[in-house]
Amino acid sequence: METLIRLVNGAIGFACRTALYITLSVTFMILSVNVGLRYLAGSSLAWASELPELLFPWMIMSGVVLAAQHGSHIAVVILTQKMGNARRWVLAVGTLLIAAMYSWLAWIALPLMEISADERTPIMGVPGSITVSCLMLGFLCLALVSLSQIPSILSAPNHSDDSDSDHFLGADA
Amino acid sequence: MTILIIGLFILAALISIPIAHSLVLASVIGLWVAGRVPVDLAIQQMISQTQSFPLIAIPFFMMTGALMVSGRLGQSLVNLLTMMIGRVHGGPAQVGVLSSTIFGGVSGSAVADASAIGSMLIPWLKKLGYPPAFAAGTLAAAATIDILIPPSIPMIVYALVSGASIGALFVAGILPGLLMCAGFMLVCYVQGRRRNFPRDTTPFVWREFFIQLTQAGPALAMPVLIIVFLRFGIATPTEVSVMSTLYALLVSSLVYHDLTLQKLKHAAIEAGISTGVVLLIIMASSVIGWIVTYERIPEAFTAFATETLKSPWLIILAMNLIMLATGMFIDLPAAVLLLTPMFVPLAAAVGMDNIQLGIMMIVNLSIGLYHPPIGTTLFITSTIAKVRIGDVVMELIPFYIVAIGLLLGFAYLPWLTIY
Repeated sequence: METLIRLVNGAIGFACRTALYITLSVTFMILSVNVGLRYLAGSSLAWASELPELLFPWMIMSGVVLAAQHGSHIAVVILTQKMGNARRWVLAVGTLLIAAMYSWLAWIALPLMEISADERTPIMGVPGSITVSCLMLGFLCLALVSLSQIPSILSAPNHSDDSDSDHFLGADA
Repeated sequence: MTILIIGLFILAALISIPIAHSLVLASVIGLWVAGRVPVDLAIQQMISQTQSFPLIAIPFFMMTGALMVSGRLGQSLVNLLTMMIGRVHGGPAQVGVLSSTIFGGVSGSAVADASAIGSMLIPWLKKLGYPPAFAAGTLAAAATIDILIPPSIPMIVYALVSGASIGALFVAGILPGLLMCAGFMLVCYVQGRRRNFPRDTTPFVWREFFIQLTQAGPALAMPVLIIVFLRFGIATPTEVSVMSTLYALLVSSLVYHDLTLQKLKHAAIEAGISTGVVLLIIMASSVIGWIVTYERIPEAFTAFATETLKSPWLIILAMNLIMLATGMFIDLPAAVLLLTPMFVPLAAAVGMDNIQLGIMMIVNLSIGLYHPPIGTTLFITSTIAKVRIGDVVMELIPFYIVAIGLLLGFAYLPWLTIY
């Protein structure tokens, strides 16, 4: 079981890192070239804003899933830290809820893919279903990552409630 | 439906479900239970946020910050500032405040600032003999200046919802950021003098000063370049963010000679994760924002506030109190997304410009970053200093007084933010 969880997490992490490197570097190249072209040749690429907009959801969802793997999404733990033994169960139930919610959202996104397949971007003609599928895949990965965290939550030792500098996992403003 | 969503959000957050997931959970369950709008709407709203061209600036500003501060720049900046102001009362703590302000010019995130500058300066301040709680408090408060100095991620988010110009917001944030810096430096000076904090005793050497100035120069130039590019319409904010990353790559490889593939990969992952954290909150908040607008709450709120409070100065005071309270319980980007649709019509009703409202909102919400219970920079610096939050909060009291004093100025004196 532990090996399977490690394998799944490893594969998701690898896929997200790869997607992140590709989307960041392609967007960087397109926008840099476009600014250069505008000032050096007085022209610009017609699809220079459309392609980054298409890549951005993949960049976001890769980051969202990686943040979930690294425990970087901010959580308030003031109350649960005082719960003693019940803490693990409360956290496990919360994580299970997250997994269930994202699985449900992925399921809801499925019919949206069919509807948005007919909507095409004005310049490149890319179907809208590509972006919906990105969110659907992201939701599925979030559900899997959340499920994979439950065994470690249940087996983790209790935190003492006097270390109040450990109240948050990480954040960004 | 809105009350149900707020209740569900609080419940989910209290059982330690991360804030972003709590927002998604509350809005999705709220929509499903109310049954007035299909749940698909949540996904459509989330998708629309991922297709925003201005938001593409966020990962690149994050990456610029990660590239610039992880190298030799951070240390050069601290060395330069120590040589300049280390000898005055509270000088080493003032170095922290000034470093955060200058770092604000290369990064748009207070959290990145708190962890980067905090991990560099807190151990140094402790070694000099500063009380760890004071060191942590100073750096927690100073890190929030970062989001007033351009580039600023919360300003991009505010601009997206309010329709304000990103360039105008960036320019408007400079004076408030510098005033906040001066105010916090004054706190360090007064405390340093009153409590006789140690000062730097290293002799001043002009040659060394110029070496450090050359090394720190690229960081000092970056906010100027960003403002020039935006103000003169040379590039869009998204293009400026990409150019700032290009600048950071060039500086790192040509000036500091510390650009490696490992550093580049690390910066990309750091930027990706930070973007994921912020964007999931933005996506989730947009669903709640849509529901709030659908239920016509901003109109009802504006009518209620103008009819009951009547006087513009009372309305502005009430707006500030609501923003301060919200910032203490909700993460900054989420608070910006939820409050902006409510306050833009109200501000217009009392004749307040939406640029001034944006700066006022960001200063208000930034106080929540170093105030419990959701004080992100407070928790980061306390963890680095290994001190109790309660002790740091006591040291932060003078910083709160200065910040609230300046906030009143930004709220009632438009010339401080619109020029």
